[in-house]
Amino acid sequence: MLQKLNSLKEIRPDDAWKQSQRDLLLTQISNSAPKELSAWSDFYIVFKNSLKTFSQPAVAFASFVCLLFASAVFSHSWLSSAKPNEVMYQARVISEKVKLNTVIDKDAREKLEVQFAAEHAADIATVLSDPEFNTPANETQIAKLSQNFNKELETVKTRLTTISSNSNVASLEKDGEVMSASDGKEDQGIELFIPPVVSTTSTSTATSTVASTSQEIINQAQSSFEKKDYQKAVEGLKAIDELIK
Amino acid sequence: MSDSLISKLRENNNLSRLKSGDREAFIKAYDDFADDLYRFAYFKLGSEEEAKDLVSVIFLKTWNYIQTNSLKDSKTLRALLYKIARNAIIDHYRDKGLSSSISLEDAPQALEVPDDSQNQEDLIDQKADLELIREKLMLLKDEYREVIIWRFIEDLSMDEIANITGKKKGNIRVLLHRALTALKELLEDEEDKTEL
Repeated sequence: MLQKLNSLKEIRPDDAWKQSQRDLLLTQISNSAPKELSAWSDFYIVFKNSLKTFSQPAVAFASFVCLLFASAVFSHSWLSSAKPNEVMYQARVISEKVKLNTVIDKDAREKLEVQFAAEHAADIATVLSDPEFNTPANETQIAKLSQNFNKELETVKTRLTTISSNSNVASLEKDGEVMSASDGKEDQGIELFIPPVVSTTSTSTATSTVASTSQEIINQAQSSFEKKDYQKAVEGLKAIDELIK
Repeated sequence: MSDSLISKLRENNNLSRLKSGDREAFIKAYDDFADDLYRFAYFKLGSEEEAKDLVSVIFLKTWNYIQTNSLKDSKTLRALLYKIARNAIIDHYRDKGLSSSISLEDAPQALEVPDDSQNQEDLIDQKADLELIREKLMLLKDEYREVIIWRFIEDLSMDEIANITGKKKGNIRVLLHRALTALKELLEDEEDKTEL
């Protein structure tokens, strides 16, 4: 019945009548002093109505959330060039924290944390390698930056250890599954599970290798930093960044 | 959501332009709503000629109303047009001294539904079905007919119908349910008669 009712929509007047009425109406309203709208009036109408339409609570809230999310994601790339001695550096740290919170996968989040900490440490070393900044006049700031450098390296070390141990645990869990599955069931063709064991073990070995190589590079970067060879420290930290990526 | 918001924004823009006396906006409103208003008047009056006459009256009344009144009560241009159409139809009945229910003799006999894609037999069946539903629609109480036209033929929202009639949304829902039940009963009676 509803479908039939909907079909009644097809009833419409003939086009010739519509056109003639359109012209007639236009003549009639022309007598009541109509005017063409100026571009400014038209802009004002569109602006006012957009404001009215989009200020409804649900739409306003959704727009605010989208704006917040977009600014958090896109501002990161813009702020990533802020150096530790600049005002925008705090904004960069905050945007990185926001970006970290948007990553759901635990491993990916930890890798990102390592990457951010390594970048921070490299930036500190770059700032300190600048002879215009590294002067006795900035002594307090230099001391603070050196302290932060050590903190960032500590974060890198801790996170790398966690990533390495997580990878080992995952590999052991996989091995255990295969062992129990193959226990006494060799005659049922369960040996087919062997290839994943090899691949997880090799992944785990690769992660461990990356972790141990990174630890070595970090130690070297730390000792270079202490010897005030900032350039070498920066190179080492960039290498860690590459390894993590 | 975005589609309905954009169409709402467009309609609001057109209403504001009309308020500013923009001729182009009037033409746009005519192009957008002339068919809908003709259909509404046609189902209310049961006459093609009277419906055509009334459409012009509705647009002129709307133009004058917009120029002389604030538009705070009307949420959309479409709702305002139907509100004015409804009053114009009441005035039309009053002038002619008629009641708002239409006898079948007054109603037009043939229903013109343009469709060239179907074969002749299907077309005849479809026309017969539509003719039957139109006939039964005309037999409904005026307020039942109105809500059915608005909701199922003109696709108005409950909010818009409530705005036009000045009733609450809940009341419109009840009215619509009763109207559909009444129409269904009329169609079932017809089926029974045919079977006998």
